[in-house]
Amino acid sequence: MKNDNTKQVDCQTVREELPTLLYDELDGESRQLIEQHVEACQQCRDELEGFRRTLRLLDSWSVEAPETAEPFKTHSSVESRLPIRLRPVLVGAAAAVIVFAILGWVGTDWQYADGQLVVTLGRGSMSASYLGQDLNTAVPMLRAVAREEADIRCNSLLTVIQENLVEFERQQEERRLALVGAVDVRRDEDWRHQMVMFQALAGGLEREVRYTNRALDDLWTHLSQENPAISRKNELN
Amino acid sequence: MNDLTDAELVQRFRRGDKGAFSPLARRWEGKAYSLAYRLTLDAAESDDIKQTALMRAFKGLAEFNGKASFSTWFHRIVVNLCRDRMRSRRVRDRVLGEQTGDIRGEGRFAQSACRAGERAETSSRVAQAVASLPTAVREVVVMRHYQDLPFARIAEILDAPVSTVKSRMAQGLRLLQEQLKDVAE
Ligand SMILES: [Zn+2]
Repeated sequence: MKNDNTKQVDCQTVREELPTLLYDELDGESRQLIEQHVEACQQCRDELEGFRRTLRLLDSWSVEAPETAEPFKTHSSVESRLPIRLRPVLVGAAAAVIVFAILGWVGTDWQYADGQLVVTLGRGSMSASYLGQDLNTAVPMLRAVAREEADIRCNSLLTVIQENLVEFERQQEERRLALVGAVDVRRDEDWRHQMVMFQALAGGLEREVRYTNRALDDLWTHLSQENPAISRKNELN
Repeated sequence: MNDLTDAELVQRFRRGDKGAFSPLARRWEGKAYSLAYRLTLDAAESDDIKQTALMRAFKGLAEFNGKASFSTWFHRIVVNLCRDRMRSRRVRDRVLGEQTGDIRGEGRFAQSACRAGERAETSSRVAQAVASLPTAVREVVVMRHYQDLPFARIAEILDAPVSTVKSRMAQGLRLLQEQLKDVAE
C-alpha cells in the first residue's frame, strides 16, 4: 500500500538514487523525498538494506600501496610480462619485418650534467629529460619512459601476432579439411619455422629490456656516488 | 611546499618551478597505485601504471589547461592506462599458448584475487566479485567506494553524464550483491 508521499517519486527513480543516498550526496529536498519513499515502500527498503550490506562487505577489501616507490628492480615488470611461450602463429614476411624492427632497437645511453638528466634509447628513438632537484622522483620516471617505450613495442608486436593468429588458424583449418587422413608435413614445417621466428623476437625484446635496466642501474649508481643526498633506500638491491 | 593546494603547485610548475612536481607526485602516487591495483589486480602492473601516470603528468602538465582539477586530470590518466593495460593483457593471454582457454583474462583475474586474499576469505571474495564486473561498472564502483570520489567528479573523469555514472553504480551494487549473497559479514 502506497501513500501520497510515495507517489511523488516512482520506485525506479528511487532505486537509481539509492547510491547517492548511501554516499550522502543528496541535498535536503531530494533526500527527504527519497527517504520518505523508502520509509513507505518495502521493496525499496529491501534494496537499500541489500546495498548497505554490500557496501559493508566492500570495506573488507583493503589495498596497501607500497610505502616508498621502488624505482629499481632487478627485473622490470616488462621483462616478467614478456611472452615466453609464444604460439607459432606469424605467417611469412610480417614476422621477418618485425624481427628486424625489434632487433634494430639496440643501445641505451644516458647523460647527466648540470642537473640535467637525459636517457636515450636506441637510435635517438626516444629521449627524456628531467630538470629538477628531486632525483628520487626523476629517475623512476625516466625508467617509466623506458618501460612505456618497451611496452609500446611489445604491444604493437602482439597486435600483429593476433591479426596473424586469426589468419593462420583459418589456413590451418583449410589444410586440415583438404588433407583429411594424409600426413601434413608442410604444416609441421611451418610451425617449426614460426617457432624459430618467435624465439628470435622474444630474445630481442628481452635483450632490449635488459640493456635499458642495466643502463639505468649504472646511472643510479653514478648519481648516488656523485650526490650522497640521494636516498640510498631506493638503491638497487 | 607541502601545504600548497594542487592548483597552486600546478601554477608554480607552469611558471617554471619544476620542483613543484614532487609534492604533487607524493600526494597522488598512493591513490594512483590503489586505483590501478583495484582495476587490474596486479601489483607489478599497478606500480608500473603509477609510475607511467606520474611520468605522463610531468610531461603533460605544461599543457594542462587547468579547466578540470589536477585530480580529475590525473585520475583520467590512470584509468586510461588501466584500460590500455587490460586490453593488451587480453591480447597477451590470447597469444600465450598456456592460456588459450582464457582469452578474456577473467580467469587470471580470479586467480590473482585468490592468491592476494588467501588470508582473508571475505576480502578475496570481494576482490573477485569486483573483478568480475564489466569494466565500465567496475571503474565507477572502485572510484566511488574506494577512492571516495563524488559521482560528479567520476562523471568528469570518465567524461560521462552523472546519471549514467549513478546508474552504473546501482547496477554494480546489484551485481555485487548477487555475487556476494552467500558471504558472511
Ligand atoms: Zn519503492
